[in-house]
Parts: sequence; C-alpha cells; structure tokens
Amino acid sequence: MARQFPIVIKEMSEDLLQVKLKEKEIDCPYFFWQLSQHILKSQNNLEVVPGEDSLVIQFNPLLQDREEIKEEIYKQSKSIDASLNNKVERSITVPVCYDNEFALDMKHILSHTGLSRSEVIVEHCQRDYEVKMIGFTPGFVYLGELSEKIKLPRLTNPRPLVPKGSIGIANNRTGIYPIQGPAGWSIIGRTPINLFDTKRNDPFLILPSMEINFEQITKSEFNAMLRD
Amino acid sequence: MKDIEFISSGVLTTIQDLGRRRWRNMGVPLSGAADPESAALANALLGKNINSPVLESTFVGPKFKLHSSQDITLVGAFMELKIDGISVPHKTVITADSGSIVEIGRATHGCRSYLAFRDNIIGTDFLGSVSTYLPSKLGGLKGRMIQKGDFISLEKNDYKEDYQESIEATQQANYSHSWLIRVTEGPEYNLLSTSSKDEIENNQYFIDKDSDRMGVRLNGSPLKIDEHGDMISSPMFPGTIQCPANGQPIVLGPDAQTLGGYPRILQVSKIDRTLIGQLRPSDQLRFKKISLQEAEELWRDKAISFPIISHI
Repeated sequence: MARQFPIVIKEMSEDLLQVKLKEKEIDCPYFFWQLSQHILKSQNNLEVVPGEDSLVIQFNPLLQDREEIKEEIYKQSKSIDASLNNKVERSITVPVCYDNEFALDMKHILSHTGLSRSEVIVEHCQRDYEVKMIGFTPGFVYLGELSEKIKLPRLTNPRPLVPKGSIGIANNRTGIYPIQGPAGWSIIGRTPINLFDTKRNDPFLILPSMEINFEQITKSEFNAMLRD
Repeated sequence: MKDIEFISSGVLTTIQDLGRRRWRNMGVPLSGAADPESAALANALLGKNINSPVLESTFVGPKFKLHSSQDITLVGAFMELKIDGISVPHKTVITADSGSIVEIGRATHGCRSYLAFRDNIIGTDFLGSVSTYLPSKLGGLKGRMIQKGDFISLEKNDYKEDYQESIEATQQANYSHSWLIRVTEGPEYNLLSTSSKDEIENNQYFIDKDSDRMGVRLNGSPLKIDEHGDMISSPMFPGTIQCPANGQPIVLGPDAQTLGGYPRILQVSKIDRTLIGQLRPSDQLRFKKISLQEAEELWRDKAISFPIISHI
C-alpha cells in the first residue's frame, strides 16, 4: 500500500533549503535519494545533496522563487511511495584484500574490538549493505549497517591521504574511498575495482538502489584485478 | 593551436569556469573559480559568456609566451600584470601581440586572480565543465595544475555580448588583509555554547596556511560545541562553515565536500561568498551575523548594479 513521508522545509540560507522528515525517528535515506532524483528531473538549475536524514537544495534567489520551489518539493515528496523504501535493483560484490599492507588500521581495529583478524573480516564480509548516501567526494558510498562487533568511532587524527579504493569503517557505517584523499575512518582493507571511472560516460559504479557485499581476496588476486 | 606556452607555472595555476553543476548529488563538488565574480567579470570585459574558462592564479601567477595575438584582461587579487616587461592595469582589455611574454606577479592583496582571453581556452570537459578538480584529477589540463613547459590551446570565439552597462557600475571588492565576512546561522548553530554564540562576532581569526580550494581554516579563540558525539554526515555547500571538535572553524570553498560530519554553524552570505577565494594565509577575519532577509536584500541590491551575478 502506498505510504507517504510528511516533510518540513526550512531556510538554511538565502539560497539553500533544508528538507527533513516531520517524524525524525524513521530511517529513510532512500526516500531523500528518490526525492532528490524527482526534483532534479522536474526542475532545472537546482543543486541537490541528499543525506541520510535530510536533503539540501540550492537555488538562485535572483532567478527562482523560493515559495514556488518549496511547493514543488512538497508536491514531489507526495508522489514518492515510501513503502518502496530500500528497493534493491541490483547487487554488487566488491572484492577486498584485508592484508596489513592495505588495512592500515587493522591493529587498531583488533585492539579496539578484541576480535581476531579472521573474525573482523567475517564480520565485515558476512552481510549485505544498503547504500545509505553518496558523497563527500565523487562516488564515495556510505554503507550500512555495519556489525556492532566492529563498530568504532572516527579516528581522532584523520589521515591526510589514503590510497584510492581504501575501505573504511566508522560507527555503524563502512565506506569506499573512490579516489585518494583525506580520510577520518579506520581503514580495514582495499578494493582493486574502480568506483569512479572518469573515462566512462556514466562514471559511477554504485547507486543507492543497489545492495553491496564484500568478498575477501588475496593479494595476488588483488594485483591481478588491478592489471585487468 | 598551442597558443600559450608556459615559461613558469606560478604557485598553483589551473583552468576554471564557473563550476560543474547538477552532479552534487553524486558527490561531485562544484569546483570552478574560487572567486567566481572576478572570473565572470574578466569574461564580461571581453564580451564573452561569463562561464568561459579562465586561468586562476594563486599567490604568484605564471609567465607565458603567446603564439597568437590575443586580447586579455586580469581581474581579482592585486598581482602585477606585465606584457613584455611593461606593467598594465587590471580590469582593462589589452591586446598582446603574438610572441609577447605575459607575466602575472605576486599578490600583494587577495589570493587569486583571473586571466581571460578573447579566444576560448580548450580544457578537458568532464560532466559539462572544464573546471580543474585536483583531488580527482578532473577537467582543466589533464586534471592537474599548470606546469612549466605546458601548452594551452585556444579556439576562436565569435560570441560577443555587450555588458558595458553592468561593468561600468561595478565596484572592486575592498581588498585588505582584514576581512569582515557576513554570515547567517547554519542548521547546527544552536549546538554552539552560549558563550561561543556571544563571542562569535568579536573573535579575531587568522587564516591558516593549511587552507586550499576545499576549505579555508581559521585560527582563533576556540568555539565550544555543547553537544558531543558524531553527528550524521549532512549536506555541505561552498560557504558552509563547519566547526570540528577543536573549535576552529573551516569555511568551505568551491571544492567543498558534498557531505560532512561536523556541525554547520554558519553559512557565508552570497554577498561575501566570492571573497572566500581571496582569503590568504595570515590575513585576519571577523564574522558579522546578518538575518536571512538582510542577506537576501544585500544580494538583490548588488545585482542591480552588477547584473551578471544573477547567472553565477
């Protein structure tokens, strides 16, 4: 049966609108992703960023009318059937090498969780993840829920640079760094696959409608896949 | 082809337009000129589409040889522009002959300048923009900053628009080493302690040397956040001011991450957002809080005397 999520819209600045749910408790990142897609299709010249529990829209206050945009957002939100939340259109398996060479924080993860290395890997691999959000940098995916057993906070001192393909964990999320860059999450492994391929027409490999799982690979498999 | 030959690169010179739009939902930052109003004005002075690619110079500009005759103009930070060793003014269209040497000097005030050419700079298009985004090696010249020995090609530009009216009324931003930046309250403003809220306009900040196009880091009396713990990563835009646990705010620039985990305490108003690109290490900065309505009115008023900003 069709269900709706009532929303509230607040001004975040003279050119930004923040959309939130009236009832805060519901977990519905896919709703904000769907809403952002509807808005992008129906309106030109808007920038949208869907988060897990909000959506922010940027408009041009000199050329666009804020009240009209708000009306459009309300209208679009009503056209989304919330009972279709978290619909999985495709599953993707991401190969990960958990060797120390790639798992920059494995020692820290082991001492923090009290688990053995193989237990940590099993906890990370043995479940299907929803794509909660995309962003931070191009194509970075926030996946959840991470196992409670390997839950640890963000690093106190973020790393200025982690290599492309690094897999991080923080709180109830795991994520994949598609490009090299700064990282505040504990690095548990690395994937050889390219999540953000600028040479492709559609550079993004993972979308919020997909389900992700991880598969352990050896270092030689990792290197072989890098060469392909 | 091969119209511009770089003899020296400058500190950080990139090709930028007004940014990569409509992909922010996939984590793609805006990028583009860090001071978009200066970039737009440089193009407008040449009668070009304001979104045309320009050369963004940082601190110290490049030196290059022209292999075709070009009309050029420089707008932005106070950097001396020389053609064959002769100093020429900013915001003025000047014809440089084929074979001449163009040099952009060290900035005395501000941080970035924008050089526009009559013909169009050819850069690598990615998702509808040639703006250089260094972290992902996208756009511009092979996704990187200009290096000594590089060539840039230009293609004929027939586009001609008359912006004269809007340009004559334009006032140069008030460059100094001490900035007053107008802001409105951000979504997590209320996480600031009462004393931090009281002090925020009086705090004197210095621009940290560890600043870049992603964010300008400030140093000053640390702000206190009442509520601790990690917040869910939330949407961020250029001009959003984050406050990490150390209490030193970060003003996000054109390469701002699209999602971030620190409280969004303030948002730089559009009237002053273009100045983020001109803040340079060791400059001083203070905030002035204004209402949403004031922010809107200031921006509308500015557009009356400088209409091209409606399209930035």
